Amino acid sequence: MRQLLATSLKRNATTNWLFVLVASAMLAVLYALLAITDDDRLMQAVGTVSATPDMVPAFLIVLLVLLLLFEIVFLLYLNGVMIMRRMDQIGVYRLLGMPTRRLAVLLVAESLLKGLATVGIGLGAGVLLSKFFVMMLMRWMALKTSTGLLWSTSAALELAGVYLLIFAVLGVLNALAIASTPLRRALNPTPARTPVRRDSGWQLLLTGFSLFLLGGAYVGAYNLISWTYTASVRGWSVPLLWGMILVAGLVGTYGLFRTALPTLAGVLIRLPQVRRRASALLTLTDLRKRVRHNSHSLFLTTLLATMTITVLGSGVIIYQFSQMGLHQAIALDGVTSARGRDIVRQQLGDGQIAQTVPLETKLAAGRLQGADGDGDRTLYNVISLSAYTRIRRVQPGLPALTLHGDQAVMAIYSRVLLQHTWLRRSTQWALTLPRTATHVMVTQITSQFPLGGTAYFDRALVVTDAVYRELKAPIDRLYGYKFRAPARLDKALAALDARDEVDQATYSDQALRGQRAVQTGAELKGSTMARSAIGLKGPLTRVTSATFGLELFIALLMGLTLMVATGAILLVKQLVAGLQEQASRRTLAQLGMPESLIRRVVIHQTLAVFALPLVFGALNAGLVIRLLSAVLDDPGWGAGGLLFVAVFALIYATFGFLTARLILRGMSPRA
Amino acid sequence: MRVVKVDHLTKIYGHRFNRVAALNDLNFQVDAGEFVGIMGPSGAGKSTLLNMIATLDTPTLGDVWVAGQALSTLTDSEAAQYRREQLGFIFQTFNLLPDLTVADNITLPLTFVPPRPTDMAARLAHVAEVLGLSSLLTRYPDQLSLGQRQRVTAARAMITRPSLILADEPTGSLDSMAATELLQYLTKLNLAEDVTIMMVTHDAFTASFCNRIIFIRDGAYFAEVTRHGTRQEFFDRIIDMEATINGGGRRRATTPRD
Repeated sequence: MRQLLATSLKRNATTNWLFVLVASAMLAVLYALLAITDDDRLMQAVGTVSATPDMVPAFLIVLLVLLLLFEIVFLLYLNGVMIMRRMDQIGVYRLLGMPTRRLAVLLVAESLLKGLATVGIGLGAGVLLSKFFVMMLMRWMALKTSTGLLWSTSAALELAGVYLLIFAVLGVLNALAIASTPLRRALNPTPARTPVRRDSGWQLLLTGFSLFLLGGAYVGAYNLISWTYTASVRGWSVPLLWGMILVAGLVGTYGLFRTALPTLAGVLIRLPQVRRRASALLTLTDLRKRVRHNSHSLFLTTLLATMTITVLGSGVIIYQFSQMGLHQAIALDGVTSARGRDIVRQQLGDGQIAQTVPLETKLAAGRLQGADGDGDRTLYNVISLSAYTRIRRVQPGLPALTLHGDQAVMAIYSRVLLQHTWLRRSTQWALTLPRTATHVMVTQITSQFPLGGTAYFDRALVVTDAVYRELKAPIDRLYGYKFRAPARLDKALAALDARDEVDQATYSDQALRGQRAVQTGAELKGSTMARSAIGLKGPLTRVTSATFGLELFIALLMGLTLMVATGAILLVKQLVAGLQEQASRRTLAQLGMPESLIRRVVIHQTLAVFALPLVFGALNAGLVIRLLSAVLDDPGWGAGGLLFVAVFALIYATFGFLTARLILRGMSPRA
Repeated sequence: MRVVKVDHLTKIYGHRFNRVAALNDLNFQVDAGEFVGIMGPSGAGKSTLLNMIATLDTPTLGDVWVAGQALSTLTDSEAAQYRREQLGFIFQTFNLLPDLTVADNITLPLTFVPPRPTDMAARLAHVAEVLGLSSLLTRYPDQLSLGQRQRVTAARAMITRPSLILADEPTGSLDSMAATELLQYLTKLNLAEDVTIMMVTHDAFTASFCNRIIFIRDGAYFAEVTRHGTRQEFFDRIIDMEATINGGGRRRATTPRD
C-alpha cells in the first residue's frame, strides 16, 4: 500500500502540488486572520479607534467564516475536477483487480497526506503572512502599533483540525465517486467530444439572442441610476428592472461562452487570411472548442472574476471616498459656525489656534427650476465670489471660478449621483431666492464646499459680488481653523467632538417660499434643518481611517482569495484540456511546425482562455464600480487603485503563463 | 538519384549494463521514385529506423542522409524545416486534427511559416483529385470512413511535394477493402506523381504493393526482395522471406545494393 501511495502521489505530482499550494495559500490567509483576532494587544489597539471596541474582531471573524465557507466549496469543486481527470488511472487499477475498498483507503490516505502538507505549508506561510497583514491593517487604520510574527497555538490547532477534516471528507468523496462509477466509464472517462463544426442556423440565432441580452444588460447597467430614477418616478417596479438586467446579464454571459464566442471564432476561421496562417487557424480552432466545451467553467470564472474585481475595486473606491470625503467635509483642521466658534475658543483658547479663516455667507431659501418644470426648494448658504476666491488661497482643492452678471455656481452633496437622476433633466437651471426675488443662472455644479461641507445646512451658492451685495438675507458666518499642534490637542479635540453641538435652521414651507426669513439657533421649533456646529478633522480622521481601513483590508483579503480560486480553476481546467491536446501538438511537430510556433500557439490559446473571464469580469465589475462610484460622488481610483489593478493583472497573468508552461512541458518531438 | 542513404546506423538505448541495440550497423539506400517496404519481426527496429529518418530520434552512431542532407547535423529548427519540406507522413492512427476540415487538414503543412505558396488552392484541388477526396473537402475527419481518413493523411503528406513519404503501418487501422483501396492510391501516387515512398508494414499483402522490400532483423539489414513479375509472385516471395526471417537460421538471401 505504501508503494502504491508513493507511486500514485508521484504520478500526479503536478496537480497534487498545485492543489496543496492553492489550499495552503488559503489556509495561510485564514491563519493570519485568526492569529490577528487572537492577539489581545492588537485588538485592544484597534478597539480604541473603532466605533465600538468589538467592531474589528467581529468583522474579522465574519470574514474568516465567509472565506472558510468559500474555500470549502472551492476545494470541493477543484477536487471533483481532479478526480475526474484521474478516473482512467484508477480504472486500470480496478481492471487489474484491485478491490474497491483498497482503492478507497488509498484515496483517503492520499488526501490526508495532501492535507498534512497543506497544514504544514499553510501554517508556515500564515505565520509569515501575519506580520504583513498586521502591517497592512495598522497602516490602513492609521495606527502606530507594530508586531512581530504572530504565533497562536489555538489558531493553528483549530485550522489544522478543520483542514484535516476537509481533506478527509474530500478523500471519502473521491472514494465514493470511484465506487459509484462503472468500470467501463472509469476506463474511458472522457469520451471523444464531438468536434465543433460549422454552426447551425439555431446557433446563429442563439448567438444573436445572447449578444442582444448581454448588450441590453450592459446598456441597462450603464444607465442603471437614471433608469432606476425614471422607474421610481413613474411608479414601475425597481426590483423588476434590476432583476431583468441581472437575468439578461447572466443568461447573455452564459450564451456568450456557450454559443456566441465559438460561433464568432467559427466565422473568423472561415476567412481565407486565417486559413492561410496555421498559428491563427489553430489558435482560433482550439479556442472555439475550449470555449464551447468549458462554457460552464468560463461562466463560473467570469462570475468569480466579476466578484473579485468588484470587491477589490469597491474596496479601493470606498477607501478613496473616505479620504476624499474627509477633505470635502472639513477642509482645514476644523470648521465651525459662529456659535461653534465661541465654544472652540472657550475650550481650546486662542493660543492653540494658528489661523482662523472667516467666511461670510447669507442664508436664504431658494427654488431651483429646470427648463421643463420645477426643481426643488431648499436652503442655500450664498457666498460672494471674492470671499470664495479668498478661501481658495487656503483651500487649494477648490475649483477656480469666473462669474459674470447673474451667473452662479452651486455646491451640492452627491453631485455625481444627482447628475445621473433629476439634475440631468435640464442642462440649464435657474435659481430664485424668493424672499428678495433674486434670480441667478446655475452655470456649474460642484461638490466642493468652501471650508468643507460640514459647515453648511444644505447647499452653497457662489454668486458675483454685486448679486451678493443686493441680497437681503441673514448673515451666517463660518470659520475654518488651522491648529498649532493638532496631534497634541487629541484629547481636547475628542472632548469637543463628543459634545456633538448642532445648529438648526427653519425649514418650514413658509420659509422655503420666502414668506418668512430663515432663522438659525441651537433649538428651534417647527420644521428645521440641522448641521454640526463644530467639525473637527482629527477625530473624524481617526474613525474614518479605522472604519475604511478595515473595509479595505477585508476587501483585499476577499479579493485575493477569489482571485486565487479563479486562477486555480482556470489553471486546472486548461491544464486538463491542454494535456488532451498533446497528441495534436506532437502531430504538428512531426509535420514540421516549428517548436517556437507551437509554443506561441499554446501560449496564445491559454492566455486567451484566461483573458476571457478577466475581460468580461472587468467589464461587469466596471459597471458595478461605476454605479458605486456615482453614488459616492466619483472619488476616483488614486495610485492605490492602480497598484491593485496592476497586482491583480500580474497574479492573473502568472496563472496564465504557469498553465502554458505546464502544458508545454516535455513538448519537443526529438528524443 | 539517391533519396535516402542509411549509413552504418546504430541506435543503442539504456546505458552501461543495460544496453539494447535497437539498430545495429544498418545500411541501405532508396532511390528516387521507389516504393520501398520495410519489414521485419516485432522489435526488429522498424519504428526506430522510421523515427531516425523522421528526425524524431537521434542515432548513437552512423547517420541518415535524405536528399543529400545528413540528418544528425540538423538543429531543432532545421529538423522541423526538413520534416516540413522534405518529408511527408502517413500514420497508422491518421493523426488528423479533428477540429479542422479535410481541406484545412491537408493544407496545414503549407501554412506553418511564410512564404505560403500562392498556388495552395490548386495544389489542394490536385491532391484531392488524385486521392478521390474532392467531394469531401468541407467535411470533418470524424465524418469520414477510416479509409477516407487515411487518404486525407496521404494527401496531407504529398501536398508539400516532399522528397520522401514515410508511411508507418498505413493500413493497420483499415479493413481489407479500405486497405486495398489506399494501397492502390499509394501506388498511383508513386507511379503517376513519381513520389518516393517508404512504408513500414507487418503485412505481406500490403508489402506486395511496393517495388522492393527491405527486411531487417535485430536492428540489422537481413535481406531484400525486389519485385519481378506479377504481384502474386512478389507476394509469394515476401511470404517466403518472412518465413525465413522468422525461422531464424537461413543465410541472407541477397546482398544490399550500393
